[in-house]
Amino acid sequence: MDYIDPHLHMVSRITDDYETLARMGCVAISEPAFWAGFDRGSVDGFRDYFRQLTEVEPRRAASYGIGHYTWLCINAKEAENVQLSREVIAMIPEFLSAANVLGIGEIGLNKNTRNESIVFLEHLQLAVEHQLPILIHTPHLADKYQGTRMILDMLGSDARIDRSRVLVDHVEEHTIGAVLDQGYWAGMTLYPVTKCTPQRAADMIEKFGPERLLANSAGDWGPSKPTAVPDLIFELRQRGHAESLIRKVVYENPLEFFSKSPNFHWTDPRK
Amino acid sequence: MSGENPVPLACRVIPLSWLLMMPDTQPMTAQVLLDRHFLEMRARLLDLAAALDRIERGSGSVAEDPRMEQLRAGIRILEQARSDRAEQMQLLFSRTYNAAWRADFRL
Repeated sequence: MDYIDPHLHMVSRITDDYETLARMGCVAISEPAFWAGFDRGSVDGFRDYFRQLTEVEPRRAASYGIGHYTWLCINAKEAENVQLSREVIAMIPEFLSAANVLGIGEIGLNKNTRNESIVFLEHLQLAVEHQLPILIHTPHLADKYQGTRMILDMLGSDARIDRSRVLVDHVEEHTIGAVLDQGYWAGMTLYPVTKCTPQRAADMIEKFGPERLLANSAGDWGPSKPTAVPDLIFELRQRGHAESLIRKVVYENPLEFFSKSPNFHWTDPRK
Repeated sequence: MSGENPVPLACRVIPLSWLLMMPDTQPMTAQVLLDRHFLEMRARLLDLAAALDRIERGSGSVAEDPRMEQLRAGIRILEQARSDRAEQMQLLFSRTYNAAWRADFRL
């Protein structure tokens, strides 16, 4: 089955992964800007990273017939440095006209601090000014519930935010209900130990239905599995779910959400 | 972005398209599910029991460590007859949300 992985950090993956993704049916990915595993020292470090996301990765993906889209920001972990964050936010518009930029992301919270919240709000301002969709990272483990509620508070207090253009990612059993109830898209991340298994993601699809629900691997430089979405497809098939339901979650929903971006013009790269 | 901020209170109402797609939200019977998952669940319970034994055999004591009470509370959640055990388990291991956080941060 053709599928789209809406959250995959290919800058951290080897070229063989692109080939494997293509063989597994992946036709497109979107790659949010994230923490590289170390704190970058200057705005130029981010400028080079954004060139990689807008110039290098699309070429690497295209050679395997995979469409590559991206989201730009300074991630929540480095957002603790407010001065650097402001320099990066001021620089981001240089890249917003690149053909594969869908919006602002993955912004969010990490340890739910005041500085992270300040930078989150300033990213929201950037997205509103440029009328772009938003992709949001929610914290890990014990911080997830508190951080998700804080993020929903900030989004909900800004009347300019169109909820149908916001994806709140890494939802789990205790956060998915609030995200969907408030009208946002929700992303389930299939990631070992700290996030969600394909089995639990299938449970959430059964409990909440497929509307505004996405599934991703968030494959990156840590222990992760870039082909986790096919694992979810396999689990749903084993449970006897209709192909139409599976296709909605792993293909049609990502296309619908990406279409909220003025930069998104979909043509299956294999056709 | 729109100026409206609708909170679709009824957005969890299951749309007809979903019902047609999923005539039964859980296509498998409870018996089939138990058959499918029994060995895996048994193995996970054994892993948990063995890890608790390992901690018991270790030198020193963790009796006062609050994480041990969290684990005991988690085991009690497993014993409850309800359909949201996973959500309750997540909340058990979550920090508390403080609705006044913006005032505390002066934001």
